[in-house]
Amino acid sequence: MNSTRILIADDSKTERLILQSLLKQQGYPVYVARDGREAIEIFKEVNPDIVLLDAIMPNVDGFDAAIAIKKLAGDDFVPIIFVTSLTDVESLARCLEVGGDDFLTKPFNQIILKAKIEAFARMKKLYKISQQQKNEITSFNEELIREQKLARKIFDNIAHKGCLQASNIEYNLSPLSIFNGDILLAAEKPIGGMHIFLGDFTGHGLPAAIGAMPVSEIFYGMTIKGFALEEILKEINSRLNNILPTGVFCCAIAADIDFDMQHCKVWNGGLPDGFVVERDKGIVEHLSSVHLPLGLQNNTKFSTETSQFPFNADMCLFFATDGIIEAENLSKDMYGSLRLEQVLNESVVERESIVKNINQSLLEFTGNEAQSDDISFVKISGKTPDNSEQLQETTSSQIKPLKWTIEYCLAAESLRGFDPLPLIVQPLMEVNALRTMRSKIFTILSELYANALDHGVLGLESINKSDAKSFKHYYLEKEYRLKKLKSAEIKVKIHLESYIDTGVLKIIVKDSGEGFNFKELFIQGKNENYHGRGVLLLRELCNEICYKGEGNEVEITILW
Amino acid sequence: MLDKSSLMALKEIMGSDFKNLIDIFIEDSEARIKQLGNLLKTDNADEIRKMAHSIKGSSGNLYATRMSDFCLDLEKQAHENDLRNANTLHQQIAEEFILVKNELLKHWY
Repeated sequence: MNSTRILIADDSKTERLILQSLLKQQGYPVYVARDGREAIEIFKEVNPDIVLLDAIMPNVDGFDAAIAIKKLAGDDFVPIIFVTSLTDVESLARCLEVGGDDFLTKPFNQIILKAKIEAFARMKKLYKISQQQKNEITSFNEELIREQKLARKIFDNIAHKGCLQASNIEYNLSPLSIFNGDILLAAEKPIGGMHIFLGDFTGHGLPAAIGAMPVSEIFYGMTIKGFALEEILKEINSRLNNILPTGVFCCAIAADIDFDMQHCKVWNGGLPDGFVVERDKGIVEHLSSVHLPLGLQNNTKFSTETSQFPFNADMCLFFATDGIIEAENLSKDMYGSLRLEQVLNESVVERESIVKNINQSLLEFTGNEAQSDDISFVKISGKTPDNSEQLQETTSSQIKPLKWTIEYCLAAESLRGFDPLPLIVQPLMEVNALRTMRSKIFTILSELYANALDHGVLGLESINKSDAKSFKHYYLEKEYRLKKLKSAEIKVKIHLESYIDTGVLKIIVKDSGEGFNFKELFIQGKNENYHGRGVLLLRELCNEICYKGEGNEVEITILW
Repeated sequence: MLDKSSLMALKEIMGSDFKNLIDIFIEDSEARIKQLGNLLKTDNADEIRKMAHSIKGSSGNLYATRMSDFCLDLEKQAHENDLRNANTLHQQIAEEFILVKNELLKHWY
């Protein structure tokens, strides 16, 4: 038995009988109505697949019945074939006007009748399938949007600690940017200064968003623990290399800004040129990509070499993904980097307006407001943010008296390429009172360690690091001496005593170097600069500072 | 009077239903021709047109071509509100029907 059920409506008994007989022989279940009114009633009851309507019938005629049936069918496709002896064009046109899909003229040709019924039965099946698929697609789409919203929520929970609201940062980012593959992160370093990361994942949708999660987690997690930008990039690269499928990677530009030292490092892997823009000068530096994107190579081939340059309050960085350069106008021309550079050069006098100027220039070019939604860029000025909120973590751990001593002993192998500070700071951050001093302790430790390594073990002379040339020379020399380093040692001893609301922290750093004449230093008040052995800074931050031995051992005390 | 080859084809397709079809046709036509006669007394051209149309349909289905042609003439004239030949045509339809009926019962039943 055929599954296509057919409703016939005809006021002529002979006609009904002939139609019914023909269709039954072809195996179709048939329902019969004597006029339009009955046809509508039966239609409601049995919901047939195809309807054959006589045009002229008493009570409700075929035209009105067709209108009613199409209305009842709604989104369902119910083919209506008019069976008519009317031959004038006007009447036939009317059959189609009221929603009829075809007509059969009397007397019947059973071959044509059969062919038409079969054609419509096929069409009906196709329609059912496509309707099912359409419903599936609709529900998939709804599911996708639900998932994206959920992913967005999770992502926000991971990324909310960022300092994108800092007064020195302006940016343009679509609210759903992670689903375009764009990611923008900024975090304050515990030692002061800031890390910025702008990334652009290949691909769209969830795969891109999923890649963004570990990036943000690593970026924030490692920055707050005091890891250097290079270490963070290495970790991100290695993680992405492990988790992302072939062909998916993250083009990125990252910066490490030191506001106090007025110095900046930038790493660019695969994104368009970043720019350093200076007041009254325009673009003073192009930060071109010299690395492969993150996640492409394993870490043995991965290079974290950065461009380094002085960076002061009169300067700003500008980073963008390729969206801005590739923005098209109606005639498919691209916005291009020349237009971008022109805006940056013209905007320098009032640097604060760069973001506004770019958006305006882009709008003028594309003539399309919606375009800027997909475009991500960020401007970071070298001015220390004035709304910097210290990253205070609320703590639930109980305050208990503590008393312990830890000693780290770092040999040449470790001194060469390993940054021990995050490791050393970590146990201190378990102490409530110290957690609120995170930035201070980090500064003290890094100063002590840098002194022990640079001036103690490596015997480097102090220099003015804000001078780009000597700065570069200094670091090349440091690298060279590190490489040559054979037997050397730095000992870091930390002694802590902590009570309910008082405590003492002593840090003793001893290096295997020759030491220096610290007595002279104090007597003559020399080296009052920041860039000496940082004595003034340490004095300011610590309650006590005491050099021992040949000057190769220093002990500081912090009380609270 | 009857298009025999077409009717033969219909008979083959209808199979056992064919006799039933003849019964229904005869019964239906007798009733309608009578109704048509009553309508002629009312001068209601529209109703006459509809009835002629419907008899034309069922006679056409059984390939009673001449009977169907008379109905078509009546339908057309009624459509133009011309009822001058209506009685004559009704007469011709009724007479033709008797012939068709006899033929069907004799040779096709």
